[in-house]
Amino acid sequence: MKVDVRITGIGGQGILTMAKILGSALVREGKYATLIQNFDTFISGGESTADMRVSDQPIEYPVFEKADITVFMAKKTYPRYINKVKEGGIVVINSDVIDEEPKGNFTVIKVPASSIARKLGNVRASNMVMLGALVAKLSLANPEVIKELIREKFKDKADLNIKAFEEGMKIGRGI
Amino acid sequence: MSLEESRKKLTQMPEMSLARAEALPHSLCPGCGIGTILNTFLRAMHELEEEGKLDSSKLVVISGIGCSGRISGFVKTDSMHTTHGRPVAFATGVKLARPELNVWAFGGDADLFQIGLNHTLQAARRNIDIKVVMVNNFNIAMTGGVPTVTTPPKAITKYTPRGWFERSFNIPKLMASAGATYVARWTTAHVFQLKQTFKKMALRKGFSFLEVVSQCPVLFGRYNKFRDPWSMVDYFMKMSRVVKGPQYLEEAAIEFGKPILVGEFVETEAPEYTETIYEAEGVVRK
Amino acid sequence: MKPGKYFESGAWAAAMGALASGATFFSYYPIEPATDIAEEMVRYGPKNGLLVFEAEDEISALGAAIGASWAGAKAFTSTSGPGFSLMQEHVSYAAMTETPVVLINGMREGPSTGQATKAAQQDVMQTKWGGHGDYEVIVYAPYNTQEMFDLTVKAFNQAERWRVPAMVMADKMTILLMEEVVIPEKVEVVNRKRPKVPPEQFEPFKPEEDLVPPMPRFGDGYRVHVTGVTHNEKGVPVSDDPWVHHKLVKRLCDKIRKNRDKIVEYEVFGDEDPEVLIFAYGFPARSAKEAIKLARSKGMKAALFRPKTLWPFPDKELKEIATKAKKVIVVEWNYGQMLNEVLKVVPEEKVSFVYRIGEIPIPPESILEEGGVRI
Repeated sequence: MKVDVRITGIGGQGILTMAKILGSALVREGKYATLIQNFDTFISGGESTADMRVSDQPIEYPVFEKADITVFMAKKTYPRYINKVKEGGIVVINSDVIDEEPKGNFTVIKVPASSIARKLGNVRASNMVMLGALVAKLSLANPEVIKELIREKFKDKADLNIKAFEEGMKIGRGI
Repeated sequence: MSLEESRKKLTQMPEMSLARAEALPHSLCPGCGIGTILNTFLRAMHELEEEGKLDSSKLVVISGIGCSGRISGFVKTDSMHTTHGRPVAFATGVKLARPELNVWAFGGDADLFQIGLNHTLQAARRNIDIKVVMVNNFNIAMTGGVPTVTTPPKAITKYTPRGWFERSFNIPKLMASAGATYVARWTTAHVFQLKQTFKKMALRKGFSFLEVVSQCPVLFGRYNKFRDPWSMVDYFMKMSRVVKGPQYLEEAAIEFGKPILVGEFVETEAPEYTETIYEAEGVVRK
Repeated sequence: MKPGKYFESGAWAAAMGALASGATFFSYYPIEPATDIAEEMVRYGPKNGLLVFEAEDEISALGAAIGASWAGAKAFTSTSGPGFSLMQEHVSYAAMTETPVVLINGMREGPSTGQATKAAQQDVMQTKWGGHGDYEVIVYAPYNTQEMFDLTVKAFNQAERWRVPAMVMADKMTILLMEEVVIPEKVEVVNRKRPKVPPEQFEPFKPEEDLVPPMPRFGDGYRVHVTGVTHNEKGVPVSDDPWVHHKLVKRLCDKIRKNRDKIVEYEVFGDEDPEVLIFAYGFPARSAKEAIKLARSKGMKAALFRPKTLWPFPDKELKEIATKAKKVIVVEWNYGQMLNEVLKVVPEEKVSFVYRIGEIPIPPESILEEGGVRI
């Protein structure tokens, strides 16, 4: 089983953090993941994209053009990558920042990630909300291990982020 | 005297205990000022060792390429003959990796101020404890007497038969502005002062810089009305004016027919780089 | 770093490899994409006994590393194309003075500035031919994050073992790509030979049987003279006798050439008697491996030959397997560099070259298609 995941947005949104937590969770459980980071430059606010191939088998070639699941964190990269969603794929958008109505042969999950995170106490945790929605659609990843990693990463700020992740999971599962 | 006899004689002179006898015969021209510089340096280090102030096994002498670049080869210490212009870069690595070493970098005018200027200035800025000695013989001698950044205006060389048309560096002022915490200049006529300055630099903490104005009779002197080595040393002696303090930096550029200011221009203190970097970075020494 | 399995970048893995090898000195001048390694060294170095020095340029960075090595440090530097060009005089100096030093290169597109943030394989010939004079270096080409760790350790060990510059030629992709990397419980570490006799009996450049002389450390009383000038076994410069030069340079090369069997490393993936052989190294080898899987799944006999050491080049080994193949496809991210090494041992009519000059992905299917293989 092999799934291509793309997380795209702008620098400073914590895209790498999301991708690293997901990748770490997978390898911790004996699964495989590769992550290619693409960013314009080091300018904050520049485009930032993480291309992840995840699998239960070792991965040789990590490059892909069209993704099975694409997570849109910002408006800026939306036009470029909305055309690179696989037929029958999944699109997860932060509906607080993207007002477009994605149209195509794919499933759309709208996540009001910014407002959920803000309600929880910190808008910066919106990446964890989005991660929750993504993980809900990615059977290879174990949510419990993700939470473990969030705890390790955020230490005393872990509770808020875990809550954000769980809220995202609920939306992803359609609860 | 045969080569073997010369070597033997050298090893029998106590004050030359740090000369590398096997490196004879040396590669310098007759009358070259580098002999005087080496002689005073070796004596200074020997005296410090006799006085119990220096362990010569912790002495590292590094040099670049050129006539002055050969200096490291005549010193019986750990020594490194590096690439053109880069002795200070190598010295920085040696000092950082083993801070207890007493590290010297010798080079010529072109070595340290033309091709390698960047490293010289950066080391001064950092105030790393390296003792830099620049032999200023006003030309790039080893390649046949080519003008360089210290060649005085209008000087004649094989490569400037119509007179040198560039301006030259005011070396002490340049070093002071780069942040050197010790800047001195003497000439090969000042053997006593040279020895004392070498001793002072060896014991000083922080970046120390010495310019030694030296004669190159074969490739510079004879093109510029100095008939023999001695006439040039004599000129240095006559034109030298001993000064002390940074107020003289402005006038420290060397030009024909004008006084050559010698002495200590800068002597100040600042945090030493090696100590600072280990402490600031929290490097755990293995 | 604790032993275990991590999801990390190649830069991180290389940094951990350096620390596991006992590196104590790292110098650099910032340049993309090698700065990622500097970032990891700044983060993990000091508390693990490593000093990080930001030099004024790449010339100084390698010069300082060589100086540090003589002062007893295990020293390395990291750079990329333009900086690597600046370092070449000192690569040559390190070879002549037999200084163990490691260079990690994140290859990017060239010539000149090219595309600074895009990967390529443009410096592989420069590793061997960049400096002046005859010399040998040891060069590794990692293709995944694990090898960024493993081959960095090997580079340190081989640099110490043979007293030569050793290089890890990564590219932007292998530096930035994150995936699983295992830090093993135990890492084999090789340290340079030290003098076995007291200073008065010691001749610093007198080789032992393996052609490598023991190396003293500055400050230990050996009073060694290190010089880029041709020198005799005592370390005394010899400028007039060309036979001294001949003998010295021959030994500097022979210590690697005669021991190449101990140094050469490569991977053969797939069939032992392939019809189709793909030659690839570094990041493009990942696509090539996938292409082999694809070809074999369709019943074709196929194999990947992947040199882990670019220098010494595994020519004998390549020749042996290539003789069996009808077709050899060479894949590179340049306009033909290692291709020339392949052509030395494989008849031209068997070889096809699939290339992109820079970071343009070469999907597995494209390798087969452009290489003239129908599946």
